[in-house]
Amino acid sequence: MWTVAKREIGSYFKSPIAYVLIGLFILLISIFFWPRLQGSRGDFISILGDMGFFLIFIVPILTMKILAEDRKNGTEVLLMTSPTSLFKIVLGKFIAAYTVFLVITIISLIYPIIIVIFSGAFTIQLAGGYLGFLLLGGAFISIGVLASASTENQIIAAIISFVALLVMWVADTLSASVGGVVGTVLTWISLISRYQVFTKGILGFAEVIYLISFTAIILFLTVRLIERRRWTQG
Amino acid sequence: MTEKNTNYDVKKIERSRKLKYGSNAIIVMISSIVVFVMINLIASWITFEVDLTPEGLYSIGDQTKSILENLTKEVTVYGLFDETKIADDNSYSKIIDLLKKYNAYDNVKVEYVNPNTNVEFMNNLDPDNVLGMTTNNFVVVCGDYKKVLKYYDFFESYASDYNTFGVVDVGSKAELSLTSAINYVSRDERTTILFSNGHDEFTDDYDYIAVSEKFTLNGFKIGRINLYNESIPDEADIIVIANPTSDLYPEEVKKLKEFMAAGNSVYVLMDCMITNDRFTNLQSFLYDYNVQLGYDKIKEYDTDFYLEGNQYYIFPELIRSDVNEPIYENFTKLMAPNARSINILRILNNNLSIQPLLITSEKTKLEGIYDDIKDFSGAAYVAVAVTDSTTNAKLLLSGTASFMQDQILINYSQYDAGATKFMLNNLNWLEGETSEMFIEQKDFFVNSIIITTKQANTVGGFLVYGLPSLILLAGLIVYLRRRHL
Amino acid sequence: MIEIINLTKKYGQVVAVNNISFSVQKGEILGFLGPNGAGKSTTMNIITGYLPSTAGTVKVDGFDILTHPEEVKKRIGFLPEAPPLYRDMTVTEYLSFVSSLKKVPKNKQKGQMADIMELVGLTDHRRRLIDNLSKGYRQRVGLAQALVGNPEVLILDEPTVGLDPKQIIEIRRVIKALAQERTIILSSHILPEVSAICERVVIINKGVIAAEDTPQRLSSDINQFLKLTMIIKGDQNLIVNTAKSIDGVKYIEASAKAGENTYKYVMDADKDVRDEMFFKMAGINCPILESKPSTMTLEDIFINVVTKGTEVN
Repeated sequence: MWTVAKREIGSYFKSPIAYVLIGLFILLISIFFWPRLQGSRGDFISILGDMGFFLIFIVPILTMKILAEDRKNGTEVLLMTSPTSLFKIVLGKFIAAYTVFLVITIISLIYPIIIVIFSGAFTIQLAGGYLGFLLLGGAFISIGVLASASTENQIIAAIISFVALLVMWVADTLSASVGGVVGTVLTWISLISRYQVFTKGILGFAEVIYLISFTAIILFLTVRLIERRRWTQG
Repeated sequence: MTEKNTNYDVKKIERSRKLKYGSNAIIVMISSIVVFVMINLIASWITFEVDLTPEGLYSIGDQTKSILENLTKEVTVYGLFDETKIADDNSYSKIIDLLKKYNAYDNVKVEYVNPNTNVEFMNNLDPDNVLGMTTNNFVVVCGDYKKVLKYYDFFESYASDYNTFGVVDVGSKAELSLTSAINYVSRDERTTILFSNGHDEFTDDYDYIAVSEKFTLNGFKIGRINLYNESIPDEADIIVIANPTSDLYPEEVKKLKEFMAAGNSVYVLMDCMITNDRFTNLQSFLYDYNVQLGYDKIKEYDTDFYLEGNQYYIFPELIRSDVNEPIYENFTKLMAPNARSINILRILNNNLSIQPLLITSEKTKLEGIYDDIKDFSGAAYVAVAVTDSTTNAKLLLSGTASFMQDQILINYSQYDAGATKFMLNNLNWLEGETSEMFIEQKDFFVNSIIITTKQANTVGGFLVYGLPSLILLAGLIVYLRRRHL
Repeated sequence: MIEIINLTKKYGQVVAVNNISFSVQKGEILGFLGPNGAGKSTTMNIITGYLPSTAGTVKVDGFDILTHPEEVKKRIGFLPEAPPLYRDMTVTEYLSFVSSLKKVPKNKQKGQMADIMELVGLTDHRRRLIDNLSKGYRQRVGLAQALVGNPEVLILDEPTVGLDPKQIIEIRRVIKALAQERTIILSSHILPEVSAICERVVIINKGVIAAEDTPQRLSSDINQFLKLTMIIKGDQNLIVNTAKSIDGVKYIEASAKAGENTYKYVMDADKDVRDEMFFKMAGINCPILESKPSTMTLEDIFINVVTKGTEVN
């Protein structure tokens, strides 16, 4: 598991991809952050909320190659015939993508630090928001991993996960206008609306459980999907 | 290996194969999703939530809790909108979240009714349309009592842009409003406060508008009375005489004495006013309770006790007493502009118990406002509470009236909380009930930073141009170095 | 060492491997032959645990691949048809990743990697990016990968494909050397390679085993007696009819003109018919000018065993 994770992390950071993604993400945050500095406002929590939205664009690119590439290159054989379980392989891949995400998250702490340097406060609410962000990242990446397992074409994998994440986001915005039972269900399902509970300052047991179990179930389904493919294809 | 073992092995293999790959694989997937949904349904029933906001936006205070716990009647809070259509970034979503806390109590029910689709409900609730309910209001109902809460009851707002009518919420009054409304509708008896208005006093329609709204929110009934030509109605519990500009007539004093003798309460508030009138009739009424208004103006010399730049805008200290006990902890400053001292007379009267409430610093100077009044130096009382044990009547005499005047609360809003707290505590004591309400407005936390424009542009510029470039550069170096390996 | 019992693999309705059984002894080198789509790679993929079987069992060292996959995988080094290489890594990075993947103890990794690189001739290229290596060197990296962890069993799917003759000889030498202490299954389409290295050959076609024997016996059976090319002078029809009357001749046909009234004939038989052909032809005054066993390609052997197989069916 760690071997696979280590290799993938190495692969991310030995190619320009991780740097481009991190740079892009930081650029986006900075663009939102600058006007706040100019207005002497230190509320990073709302930017943290937006960062959840940025992830929709970052995660598909981050995860597109994670399993699809192995299938295309034939390295899948190497992994599958090594004395490691498939679940550990998938988990290792997930950990690798998550590590890049963690690096992004850690670098983003620079903004709250700047706020503190200029006599602002680091609130518990922001800490809670970050916890939510970490959980949201996990859930998003698991979707990316599943998409990457479903095809050997990286571009298609990226498109699948992007569409899936976008649907999640649209579902959240739609839920309020649809209303009723459908709206409630959409809100219940939507990762974004679960995340917004964190950013608005509530640490909810149900939200933590939802995001963690969502990640777990998607990774489990990824394993099942690969097993199923091994069964039906050559 | 024996035959039996081999058979067992083959069966085991077959089973694992089926489970992993065969038709059972679909069942495994579906059941895992079912487990996932079950786990989360259970988790959503466990309403364990921690409020992380600095303002405590989603928490209810001890007072709300005790009021909700002690409810004997069922109270229903109706939100007049479809709560499933409230987006997360809508202000109302904060109230919905807060109401979940209320809903957890046995006697509180929270329901959302869309008035557009359920006209009948609206007609039943308010057949004569006296409540003025509209969509997006809340209605708190207990039996026949109803109270409507509107947006401005929940949020403290200011107009951010007069051209576009943009409004920015700066604080939440939601807990205060909701708890007050619940308390209000569920009360068995309503305490009635009458503002005396024959002598240009501060009343609920002039100078005390804001504070009167808070009285109402706290479940008091508000009215006005001209003591000279009106008789005091039976339902009156407290009469407030705030800053009269002329002395009371003897008839009025007589009515007040009768009112007090019946076990009711009077609240007299008087700023220092330079008039020719010495208010002898009022003083004679106060004399019965061993207290007198001082003919002076308090000037503070201790810098901790007055507003910077104005030694007449003083910060008297709260004295620990039975009356003040509920607010003594966590009390913020009370600002009393143009206050006068209150004297306690040394006449033996075992029926009276006198508790001073506010005191100035040792460095105070009391400036006499009449020629025959000498200046005096030293600590002075600014407010005193008196109880008559024979009649159970209560008198509260305050040497400041403008501490909660509208103009002062607007100009010195940072002292609003202290003034309101002190005032409500006084009323609650006068009312003689123990369930006091001191729910403060929750001002939205503003994480302001101290930064110059130059600094902001330097740091911001680095973050936008410098940092991403550095990261990309690192990527480029790694790429170039590995390309030709 | 390796036992394959009633192995079947279906992809939907298509049967790729149909109820095959064979076993490989410890220290044996087994050649695995078959045309494209015969189920060769599928079988190898199943043995290594890459693909699950539909029915049947594969046991390596007594462990079943389905119930104890990790035990089996630990014992197998696998070089698939397309070497499983991460092109964004250098040779050393790649092999040390494989070492960790195969759970080689940390302190032994370096030494073992050096040995393997020496063995397959990669030492000089160890710092190169795999992406920048030639096809031959990539194949070597693939082989090196299979050797990591010193597995008891090596499964090599077309190990010499894409290598130049010199490299082929070298790789064969390496495989021979490896065979001293290992069990090897090797698939190939080059007959000389199989006969040079393997002790036993399994031929698979359309998912079933068509033949299984030592390469010498397989070759001799087929080469020497079963397929002949003769140049005979005389009347074509007479020769064909006479030859057909010989017990054992299955097929004869004039394939080309070889001179005045002289034709080249190809014939198939199911036993040695050379003696009888000589006397019969002499009897009809048609001299055999030339007689030789056909130089058979693997394709011929396949065609042979395959036709036999279908006739049996």
